[in-house]
Amino acid sequence: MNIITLTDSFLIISLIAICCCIVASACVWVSKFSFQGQNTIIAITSVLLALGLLSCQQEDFTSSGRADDHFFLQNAGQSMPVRVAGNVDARKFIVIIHGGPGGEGIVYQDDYVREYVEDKFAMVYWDQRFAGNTQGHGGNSDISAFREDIKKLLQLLKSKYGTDIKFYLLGHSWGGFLAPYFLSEAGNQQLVNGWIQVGGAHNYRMNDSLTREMLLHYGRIELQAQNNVTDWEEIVDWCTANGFEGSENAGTLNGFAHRAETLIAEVQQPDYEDWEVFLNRSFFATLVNEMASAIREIDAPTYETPISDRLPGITLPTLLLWGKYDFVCPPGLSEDIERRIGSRNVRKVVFPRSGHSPMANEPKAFWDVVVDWVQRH
Amino acid sequence: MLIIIWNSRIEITSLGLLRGGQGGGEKSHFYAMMIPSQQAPISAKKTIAIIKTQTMHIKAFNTLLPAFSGLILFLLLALAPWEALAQRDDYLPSTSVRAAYLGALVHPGIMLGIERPYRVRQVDKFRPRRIRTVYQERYVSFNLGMYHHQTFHTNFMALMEWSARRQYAGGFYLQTSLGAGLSRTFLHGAAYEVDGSGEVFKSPLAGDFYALASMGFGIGYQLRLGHEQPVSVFARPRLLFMAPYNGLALPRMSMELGISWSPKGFWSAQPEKEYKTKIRKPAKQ
Repeated sequence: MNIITLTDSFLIISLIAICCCIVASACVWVSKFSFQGQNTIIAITSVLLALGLLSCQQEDFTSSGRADDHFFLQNAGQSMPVRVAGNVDARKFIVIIHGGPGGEGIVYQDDYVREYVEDKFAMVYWDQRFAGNTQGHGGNSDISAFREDIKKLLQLLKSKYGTDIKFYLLGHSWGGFLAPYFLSEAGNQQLVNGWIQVGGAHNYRMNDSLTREMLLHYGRIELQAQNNVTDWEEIVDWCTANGFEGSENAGTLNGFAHRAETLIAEVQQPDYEDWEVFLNRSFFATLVNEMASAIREIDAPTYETPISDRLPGITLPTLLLWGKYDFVCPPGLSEDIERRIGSRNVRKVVFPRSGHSPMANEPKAFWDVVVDWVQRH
Repeated sequence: MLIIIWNSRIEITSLGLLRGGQGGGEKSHFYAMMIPSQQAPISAKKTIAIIKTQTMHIKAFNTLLPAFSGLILFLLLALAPWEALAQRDDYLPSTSVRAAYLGALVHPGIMLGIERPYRVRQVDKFRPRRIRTVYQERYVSFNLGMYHHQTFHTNFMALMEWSARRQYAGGFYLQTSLGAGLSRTFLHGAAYEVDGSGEVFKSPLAGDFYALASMGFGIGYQLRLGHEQPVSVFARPRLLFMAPYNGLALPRMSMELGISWSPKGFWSAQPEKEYKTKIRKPAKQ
């Protein structure tokens, strides 16, 4: 039995005892019984309450070996869960900047990552504000707050695991906007040792345009081959009749893009079943946060903040990973990064049987590339 | 056809015999129909005593059909659910303390509370061959509870609830509840803040207060009815809402499995008691 389990058992027993004591005290008070142990009950309640609450706040950081640490980063009205899992002795931390807005970090921890990648490096699964299991009443939802969160996360990790650790930001989808947005702010690249961009949306406007083009291109090919004719006809007809401008068109294109991925026979469909992850999460919190993100239109300002112009300022070693059939964030976006980035150390890999999430479509191939690249940097 | 019109509550108001039906070849049917008054109920024993002392009615009855008087008295005794009558006349819901496991899949919790009845309506449903008694009870309750959700939070709750219970004479009951309260979460894990200079601070007792709303619907079994035990057991799915949770409300489904105990003399309640009757006439033959 490890420390966490002991702590939790103690916490639960304490909490149950506290409730019993409170109700017993209430009963004594309500029935006006003369009871000599009244003060004892109050004293026991107070002690258990203090112990119980303290055990909620146990500090657990693994200094060496295999970590599985869980804690929270608090900033601007949000309590964001962070899980650090894997080999901390490697001193290399891969920080997942998840998709969304409103996604969650822990979904990237599948069996392959747990057994293979975490054996080599430490993985940092962080839920962004208004995402995953992040808690709070509300607070700032501006994209600048997300950028500040990333900086504070890295500072927190350095303070707890040592200033010598190296960070590799892995931005996926919406996280692919946040990662370069963070890196392009003055001084932030000094905190990071590498940037891994996976199907990222660094330029939303360009993204929508490329999605429409790609849907038309593959749609026509599939129609010619008589594959999924009904679906492709609908998609191609819509894309022919409509442009990509405007939030409504962008939303429709995004829906078609996700659907298109399932219509291509070459794409290896992912298997998301992982009960351990599911049971340790609050499903409703994730759902509510996803709704909160949508209502607040968190990514709306990204249209006015294209990162393309800031790419020349990024000089970090960069790994670009794309699915060949990523209709959501088409591979054309990686070409824009290749053209503009200031770094001379850029490697690009396109996965032939993947869509928007190559880590789920082709996990072994994907993580082999990541592990190899991180080991070299 | 024999129709006995009987007031189960206070006295026999009329007792009669009708021999009906068309033609003489059909079978004879006996019915006991009980029409209660709106006065206070009496026990079954007292009802029997009234039957014996209501000489006028009994005499008239004997005059009408002396041969059947014993049979009619037998039918009265046989058809009336005497034990249920005796119980329901004495039955009043009482204050109870309750404890329940409050869980959602693998996340354990506990809910403890005191519930106090403030109104009960006894509804007697008269059927051709039986009386069905249902108690419509209203409670207010105060609950303290908590649950522990690994990696998420531990939540302490104080909840005031209003409940409507439909208690059947056999012991089973259905209950719906609506509640409101306050909760305080404690994050499960250490929480840190980082200031502008990059210095890290630990946040003590990190968590949030939330307004709480609760809805529940459940079933239970009251051992006081039938088993003379001041205990009931219940199962109740409960839907909690915590707000404001990132500007919205966080729902939480959980299952409450518990026991409720009414200690004798504990914060004795005197709920208002009302009576209502519903009569269904026998189907035409």
